[in-house]
Amino acid sequence: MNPGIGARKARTELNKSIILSLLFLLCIGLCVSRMKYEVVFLKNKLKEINIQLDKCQDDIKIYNAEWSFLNDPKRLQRLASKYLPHLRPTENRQIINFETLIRSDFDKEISKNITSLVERDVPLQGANRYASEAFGAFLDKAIKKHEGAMESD
Amino acid sequence: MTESFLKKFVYSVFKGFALWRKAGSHAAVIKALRSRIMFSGACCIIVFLVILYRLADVMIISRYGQIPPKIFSQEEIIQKADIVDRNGELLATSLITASCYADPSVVIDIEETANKLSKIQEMPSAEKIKQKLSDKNKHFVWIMRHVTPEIQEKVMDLGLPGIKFQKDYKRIYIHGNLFSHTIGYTDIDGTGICGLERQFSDELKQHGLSGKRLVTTLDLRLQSIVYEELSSAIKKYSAQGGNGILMKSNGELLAIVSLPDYNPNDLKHVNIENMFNRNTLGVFEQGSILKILNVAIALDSGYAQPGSIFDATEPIRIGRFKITDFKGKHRPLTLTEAFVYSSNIASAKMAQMFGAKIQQEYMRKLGMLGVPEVEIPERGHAIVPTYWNDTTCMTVSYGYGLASTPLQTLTAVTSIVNDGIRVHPTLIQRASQHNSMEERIVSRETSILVREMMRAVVCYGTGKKADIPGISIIGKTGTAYKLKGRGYGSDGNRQRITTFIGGFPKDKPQYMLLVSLDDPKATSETCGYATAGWNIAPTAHKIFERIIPILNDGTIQKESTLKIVKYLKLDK
Repeated sequence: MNPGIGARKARTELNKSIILSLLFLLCIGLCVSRMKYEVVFLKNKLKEINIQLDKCQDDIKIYNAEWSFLNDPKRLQRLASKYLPHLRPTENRQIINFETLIRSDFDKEISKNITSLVERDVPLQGANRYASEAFGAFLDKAIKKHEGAMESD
Repeated sequence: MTESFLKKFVYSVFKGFALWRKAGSHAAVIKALRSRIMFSGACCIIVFLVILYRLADVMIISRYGQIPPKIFSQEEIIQKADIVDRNGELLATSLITASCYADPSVVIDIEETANKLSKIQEMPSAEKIKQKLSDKNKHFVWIMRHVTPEIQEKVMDLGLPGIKFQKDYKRIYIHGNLFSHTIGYTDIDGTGICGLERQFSDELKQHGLSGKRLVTTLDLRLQSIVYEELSSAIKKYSAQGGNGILMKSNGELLAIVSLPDYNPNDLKHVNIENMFNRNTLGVFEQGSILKILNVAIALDSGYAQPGSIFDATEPIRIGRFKITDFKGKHRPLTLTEAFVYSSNIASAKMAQMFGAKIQQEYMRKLGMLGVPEVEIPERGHAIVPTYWNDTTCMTVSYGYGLASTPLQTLTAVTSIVNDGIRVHPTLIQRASQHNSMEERIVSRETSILVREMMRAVVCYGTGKKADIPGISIIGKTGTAYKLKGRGYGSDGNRQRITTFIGGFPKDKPQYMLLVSLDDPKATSETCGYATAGWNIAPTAHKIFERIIPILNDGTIQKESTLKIVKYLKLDK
């Protein structure tokens, strides 16, 4: 085989690989530059969003402060006495506890039964006893129910 | 077609390379190439040298150039965390503002700049601005901190070179005076100066950007009620001042008011005396309310029983001093009567029984001899007698000779009525309180007896005017003369501090209140008296009347029977 032909072939292969490498580098360069611009764009966008977020947070703080200012007890009292003159603050006697609440519900229920007993000419002493026993049973039931609810919790 | 084009392209590239290789064998061509390479290299070096010079110029030679330096980076601008009450109501917050600054090296005409700026309302005078701009070597001087948007717009409209704005934060106290002594205030840079602002300055700065908030135990509604009622009492009885503390039985402080006060948003017009926090810094002789501790010590140490008799017929004489009773009964009194009728003579005799050592030990355990435990830096140390002898022991029994802060007294009394378990006052809501380390001071039985006696004071004693129908209020009044130099003044010249300490409900106190008036005057309504039963007890009544509907969730027990009444010989 002619050595001249072999060397030329090898050189041709070398040239080919150089060109391919150059093309590859060109492609990578294009990709990197594209990516760089993309990153710069996103970075700017992030910066804008962060600025907007800060502004929103500052605005929220101002609104919260304004809301608290509007809810100042002194101001509310002044407005209430001006626009709601017929309303009065809640009094302690208007607040009852759970036991008293059961009792009042019971009273309604039992008064109906007692009325019916009286209507049926059952002596009042018997009605009282009935009321006392019934209230005890009612209270036990309510307490058991309450305890059951607590256990299930 | 594409294939043939590619073939042609590759062929021409190869042909070009072949020609170059052929030419490379000639020496002349190589020489020409070398000179061209040398020329290109020289050009590159020149360009790099130019860039290098410019970099050095920007970074080293004219370092600050035309770019004003920033004194704060975005993160360095102080934005402190919010302070809120127990219901999340805002008490202190940082709001964004703008601060005006100048770069004197850029300002062209100082005279004109100063004159134009000073014409805007609230801006410093022309002279002051001129002085600030006079040093041309400076690159940063504040013109005005925290300007309003209107002023900012006006300044920007002037278009003055070298005058700029910086983002800034200003601390705002939404409710003005209401929490002034507790929350405190900051300086213009946001550094805490007093109150919670100072105590938690670093934490508030640290969490400024994270959105975390400092949650206090305070309640805006209750604070407002105590503040209002105390203010009106001060006005009504022409008092010099007053203070009030509302505490939960677990030590959480719901309201803490000290009057006179100040507006932390307007520190330019503050009277320095108004900054004094009477509750934690004010050290006073507490008067008869200390009898609660005296009775508790007597009962707990086993030296006395509710029915023990003490002769209060005659005053006690110690040298030139005389211990007397105000409106004394002049007869032997049971311990219960001595407490209900607030007998100084009987209290002194009670203290004589258990002695100075036991008294001192109990006072130490109750925290009356140190500083109040609370998370604000303004705390006063109790004034403790140097020599705690028998005479001191007797005077301390009815509230003289030992001076402590109102918060210490309330804490001690709350500890006694809280089944004898030590209470630790706090202003900060924490996940776990001190419950894991329960410290018993007096027995449960003693606690029950003291509560019964305190209820008797409200039913039959000096605290009658504090009672609320339907709720078993407990309490004790105290009137202490103010120390003036080395004495307490003459009869017509005496100044008093009247105090009511109490709580509800009797069987398990959940809320405790201490209210005081400094030097209240007698009025026609008080029948010429200026004692606690006539002025501070009605004030406590008004506070209870308004706070109970807020605090009562239906679980606060209504009236309960008073067993201790058998030891009382009631006046008709």
